[in-house]
Amino acid sequence: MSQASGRDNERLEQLLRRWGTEEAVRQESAGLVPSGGRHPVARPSWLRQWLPLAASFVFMVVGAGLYLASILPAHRQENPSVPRGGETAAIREQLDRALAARREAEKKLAAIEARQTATVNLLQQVHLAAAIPGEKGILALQTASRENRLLSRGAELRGRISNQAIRRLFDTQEALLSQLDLLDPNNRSDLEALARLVRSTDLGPQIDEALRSGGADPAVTQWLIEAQLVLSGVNRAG
Amino acid sequence: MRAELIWLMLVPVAVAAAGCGMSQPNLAREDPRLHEARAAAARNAAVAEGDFDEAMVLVAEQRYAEASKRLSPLTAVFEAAEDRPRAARVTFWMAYCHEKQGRQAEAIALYERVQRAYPQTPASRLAAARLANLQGPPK
Repeated sequence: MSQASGRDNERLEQLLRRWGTEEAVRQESAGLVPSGGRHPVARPSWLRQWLPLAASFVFMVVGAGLYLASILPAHRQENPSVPRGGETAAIREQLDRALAARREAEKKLAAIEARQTATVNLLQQVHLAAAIPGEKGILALQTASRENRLLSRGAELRGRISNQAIRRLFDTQEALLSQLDLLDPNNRSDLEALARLVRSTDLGPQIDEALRSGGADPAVTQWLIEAQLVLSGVNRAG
Repeated sequence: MRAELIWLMLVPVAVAAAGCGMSQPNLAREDPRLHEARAAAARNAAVAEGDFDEAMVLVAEQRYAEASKRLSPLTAVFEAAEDRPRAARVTFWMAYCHEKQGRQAEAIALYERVQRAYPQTPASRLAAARLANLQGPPK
């Protein structure tokens, strides 16, 4: 009994297998089920499914590319920090200019420091000269004036003076310094004449007032003070 | 031989000494008119010193035209007294007054005269500096 039912089952199974195979072949030949391989009949259906998606993707990529190409030059113009071909050279030039300006500033600072030292030296020279009466004192003042290039510096500075009162003081001091430079230190009468002249001009208070009013170029102010320092020494030495 | 050489070397010294001795009486016998002229020049120079000091006051007061007028006869006076340093200074200050009055051509001519006529003087050095300033930097 059991053997008979086992054979029946086996037979049924075989029948089912055959039917399944035949059905599969039938459906495949009718194009109802896509096979795993590249079946020539299934391809158009696959393409129809994916082609619109692929086309829209390509369209988006091309559109994005065109958009970027159109906005990039404008972006570069708006933002100069974005370097272009010639901009590197321009930036390098700017850097060179900045470095040159820095070197110039350093030079000016050094010049100011040098002048400060020179002024202190001048002060010492004038102080010592004032302590020496007569020809040696005048000689020391002449040396102080020449070493500090008072006359040549004055000639360079005169063009910078716009204030009329300061220009008048400047011219008087220049004349007195020139006379000091021309003086024969061994000639007592010359020395006394210059001392009288310096006293009669009485420049000290006028210079104080002119400098208090402000507006003078710092180099001119310094020159006026240095010149006055030397001339006050003449007053004492004479 | 050496003694003879020494004597020969002394010959020029002896000649020079003789020359000095001969010139001395000439000085003593100087023309009285020349002597008088020299004395007058010295007196004029002494007066001119005062004029120069007054001219310098005018320069310091920036009254250049008056100063120039006061200075102009002084160069000749100091030249006559053979006081060349003062003559150089007077010429320099005349040039300076012209310069300050804007008469550059006259100023340049006078500064150049200072350099030419009184070389190796403080006035010549200062004139050169002012001339360089007037004529500007070399091109």
